[in-house]
Amino acid sequence: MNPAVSFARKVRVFALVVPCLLPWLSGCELDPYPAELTYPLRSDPIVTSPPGSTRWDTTAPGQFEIHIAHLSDPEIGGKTLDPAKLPDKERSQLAAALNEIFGTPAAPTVYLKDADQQLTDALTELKLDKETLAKGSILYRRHCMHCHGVTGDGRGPTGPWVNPTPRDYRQGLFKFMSTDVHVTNRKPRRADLRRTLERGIEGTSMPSFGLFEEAEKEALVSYVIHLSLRGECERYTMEPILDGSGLEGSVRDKVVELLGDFLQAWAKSDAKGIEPGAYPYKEGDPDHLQASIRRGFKLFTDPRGSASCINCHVDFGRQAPFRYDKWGTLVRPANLTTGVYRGGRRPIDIYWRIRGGIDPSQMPRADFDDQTANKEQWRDHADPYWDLVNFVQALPYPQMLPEDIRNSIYGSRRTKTEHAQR
Amino acid sequence: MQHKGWGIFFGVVLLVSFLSIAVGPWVGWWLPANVSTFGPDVDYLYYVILGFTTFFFILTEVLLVWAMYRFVGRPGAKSQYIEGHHRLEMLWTIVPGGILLYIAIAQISAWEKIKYQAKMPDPDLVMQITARQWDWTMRYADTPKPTDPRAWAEIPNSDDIYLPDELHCWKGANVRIYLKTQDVLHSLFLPQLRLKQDALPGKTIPVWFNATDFNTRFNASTGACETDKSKEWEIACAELCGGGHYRMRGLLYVHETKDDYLNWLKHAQQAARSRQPEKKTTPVAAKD
Repeated sequence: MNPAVSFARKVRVFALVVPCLLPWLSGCELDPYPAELTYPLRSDPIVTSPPGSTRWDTTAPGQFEIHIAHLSDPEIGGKTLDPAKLPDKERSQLAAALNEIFGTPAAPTVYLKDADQQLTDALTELKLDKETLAKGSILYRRHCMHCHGVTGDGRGPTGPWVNPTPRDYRQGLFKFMSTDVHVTNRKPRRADLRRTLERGIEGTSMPSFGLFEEAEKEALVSYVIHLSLRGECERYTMEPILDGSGLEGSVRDKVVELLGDFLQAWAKSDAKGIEPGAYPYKEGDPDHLQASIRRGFKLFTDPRGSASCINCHVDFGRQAPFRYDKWGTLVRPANLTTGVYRGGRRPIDIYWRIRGGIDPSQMPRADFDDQTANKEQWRDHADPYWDLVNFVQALPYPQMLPEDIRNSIYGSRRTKTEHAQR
Repeated sequence: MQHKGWGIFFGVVLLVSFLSIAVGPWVGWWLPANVSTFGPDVDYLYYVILGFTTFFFILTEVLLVWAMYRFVGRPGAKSQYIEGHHRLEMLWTIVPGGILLYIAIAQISAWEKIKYQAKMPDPDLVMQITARQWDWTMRYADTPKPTDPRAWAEIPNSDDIYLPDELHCWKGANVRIYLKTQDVLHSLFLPQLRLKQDALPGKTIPVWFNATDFNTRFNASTGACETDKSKEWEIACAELCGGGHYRMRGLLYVHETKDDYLNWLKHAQQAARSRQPEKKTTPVAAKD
């Protein structure tokens, strides 16, 4: 037989057989990260001080890195540090220390060789054991990595294309927390991260993962804490080297010291949440509610009060410009007339936002805790926090507002029937 | 003679593919059990079309494989060149035309029953679903049936509650869903209910169903819905909507009675209007 014909035949048989076998190549099981993969060291600029200015435009899709690279331009006025300038010696020491303590994506750990009892307890409380983290990393790779990135930097392949940008855990900063306001270095509680995971974040690209099994959700929360701890240790070890202030001991000592501090902060935050006072009004009583909404409106719109929400939520958020948050991204105080609440729409969620603030996006907390100094607001068993919650909840629904307030917010052009329809 | 191999090869491949589909009903690769009042209409059309296509598939493939086997590799043989065959062409135009006409007429009643807005039954339960990349937000009114369902669907109310990915209704209820999407095209797909409807940006599309079976009982003491594990009815997105398309999974909870549904709704409303932090331990966390 002619060898050329025989070769062509082989090619034909091959071309027929290979497509038949293709279905076996793609599996449905959850694969872990490759064992040889290590967490890469941070290479994007560290935002040490975001610009204080406001803007009317936001970052265009896909332009996030360019936006961050220009933050330190004099006309924008932010301050950043470039991890590329880290000397080689410190770079390899930092990588070694981080890999020793935090493991690899396939085998994540939070491991301290000579941890004292307090830290060991914190690790147990926060469920940062090897098994949970390994399970979390498999799930994270499948469901979260494409937005939040391998190191939790919010720079996965999809990351730059969604607005708001996916959360970068490496700063140790989170928005929606119920942690007691007096805890230093506030971190979210496990329940807060779980709530975000379960419900997703309305008005953003974060979907709900509510149908996951309990153990899966717990594992993901643990893994997010792991990534956040790793990123924060990395960042705050790099910072003194880059800004020239220098380290006192070795790089590894610094990482260990920081890890201890951050673990304490996470454990303390998890242990103590904001406990709202009992709801002082009669549930379902329209007169109480109207009076409370009225007081809330006053607190919201008073530009010099302890809440003074109107200063940032200009025109109830309808005319609020963009500001820089601590990650250097552009965010806007919420338009509260739309009825979309990123941190959750239950009264307790809104209560936590008002009383705890949203630290990283520079939303300060309303502080009426001192009841003698704020006698006016607490008079007649009123509770200024619940007044604000009631007003914010009624704000998107004109028919819930007293007529004069409704007219001052929405104008009086609408007819009564139009309001009734809402 | 060796060229006969291809005819046999294709014959075997086609036979194996055909058999792997034909055994479907006996090994659980078939349609999920129907729990919808209009399900039989949809299934009837499905089987009619499947019957026609199976018949012609077998006919044409048998002819093709037979021709490959019979006429391959005959040295010196010349193909016939046929310029046209009027009667044969009439036949293969009229027969498929007739079949298409039959299908077009046979589907009218099912389409009318399922999709005609004017013919939809008066709803017992109204809800609004918003699809987004990548989950479903189910909005429930304060009562199962608002006074003006259409107006309610368009304008949110202060006493609505929102739940991601969970569709609750009760057995025998005429459920009306107003379907919207926040971003791109999605498609609400409830396989057990034989219901599929695209969600188009900018449009509010009403869909309805009535479930003939239930899978859920609300347990007031634990506050959880107990679902029959053998009847886990999924909601899927049937229109490729982006990278997370696969994870637009929801669950359909059909309660046994209206009262059971109302008990659940009351519980869900209490949770949605909560003014206190949730209790720290969930039943599952307590176990481990």
